[in-house]
Amino acid sequence: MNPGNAMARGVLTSDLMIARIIPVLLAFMLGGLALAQSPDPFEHGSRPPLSVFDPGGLLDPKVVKEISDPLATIQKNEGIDILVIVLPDLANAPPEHVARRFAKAWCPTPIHCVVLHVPGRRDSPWIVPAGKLIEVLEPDQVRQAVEDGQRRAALETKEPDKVRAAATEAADMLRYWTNNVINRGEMMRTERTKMRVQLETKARLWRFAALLTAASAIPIIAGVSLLIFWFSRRGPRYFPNRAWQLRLGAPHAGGNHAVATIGPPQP
Amino acid sequence: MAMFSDSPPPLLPILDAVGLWNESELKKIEAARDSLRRRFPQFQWRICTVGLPPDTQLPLFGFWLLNACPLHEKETPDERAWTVLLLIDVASGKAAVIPGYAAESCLTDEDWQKSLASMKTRWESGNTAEAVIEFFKSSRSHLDESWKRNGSRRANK
Repeated sequence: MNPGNAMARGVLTSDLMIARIIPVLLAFMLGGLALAQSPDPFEHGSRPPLSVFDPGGLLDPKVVKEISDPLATIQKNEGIDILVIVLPDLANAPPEHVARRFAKAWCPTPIHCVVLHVPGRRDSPWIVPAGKLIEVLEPDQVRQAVEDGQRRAALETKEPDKVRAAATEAADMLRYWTNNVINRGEMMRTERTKMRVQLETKARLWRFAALLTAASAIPIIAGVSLLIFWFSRRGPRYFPNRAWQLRLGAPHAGGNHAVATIGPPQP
Repeated sequence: MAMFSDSPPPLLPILDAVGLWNESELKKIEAARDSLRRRFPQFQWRICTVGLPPDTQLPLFGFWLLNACPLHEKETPDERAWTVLLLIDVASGKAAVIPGYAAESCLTDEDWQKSLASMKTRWESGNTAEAVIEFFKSSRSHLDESWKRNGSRRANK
């Protein structure tokens, strides 16, 4: 075999291999990127149309509707999203963690709350508020309100009542906080406006006072100038002391010719 | 100094030898004089009315009067040099101004003659005191003009 031909064939073979490998590598890379960018799928899928999620059918559908309808109305009218989750079991997961996962997956609004209930558990239901609204509130205030609400809901004896009570507590809680924040915001806006008005009034008064001062200073300055001018005009005037020489041996005056007839002679 | 035989009287501010003016007129004249003196504090004004014999040269008589009159108690030679004597001869109907050495440099004879001439109208109408006041007004006017040329606001020492 011609060594030149063998070399040429070897180069051709390696080019073909590279051409085959590149698409495979690209496919792996793109696949990896796609996997890295897409979040883990939520095990419960997408959010159901009702505000109560009861995959185990632990509540009567009528009760589910009774609880869900008012929550839907609140969400529609006030933008407060209360999601009730009823699960048979948490599989040893902390209730707050579970609730937050639901909130993260299904509650994109800034004011929302997940009410999680596991029938049979003495510490259920749990109320977990989240979102932008909660971030602006005092944590102690939130914790206290949540604990009170949970305690009141847990006092109910029947499971549906517990869920209903917890949902009501959560809705009331969020409505109260929302209104409070709105009121506070409005109050702050009002106060800001009031302060701005006061500042503007003060600034206007200052400007007016400055103008008035300037306006009154002009005639005062003019008056003082006139007075100075007037007094200077009226002030004494002096002639220079010139040296003189005695004339005709006279000690005080040398005589002159300033004489005029001012009237007829009198006999 | 011995050109007139009489011994001269003291040179009072107003020496009304012929008794032209009453008290009220004298006060008016003094007020006009004081006003002029406030304006030109250097000047000492003397007014003298006389009835001289005919052919008496009024300027010469005034020259003698100003020099021969002794300085009175508080008068200094410097004040006499700043004295302006208005001498009025009722008999001849003439008036003369005799300034001291210091005062004569402030106004010319022509200026003084103009001031004297300003008296004429009032004098002829019989208001002799007013005529003197007019003299002061005219003198003030001429002194103001002269002061603008070479005066100052402060007294020269």
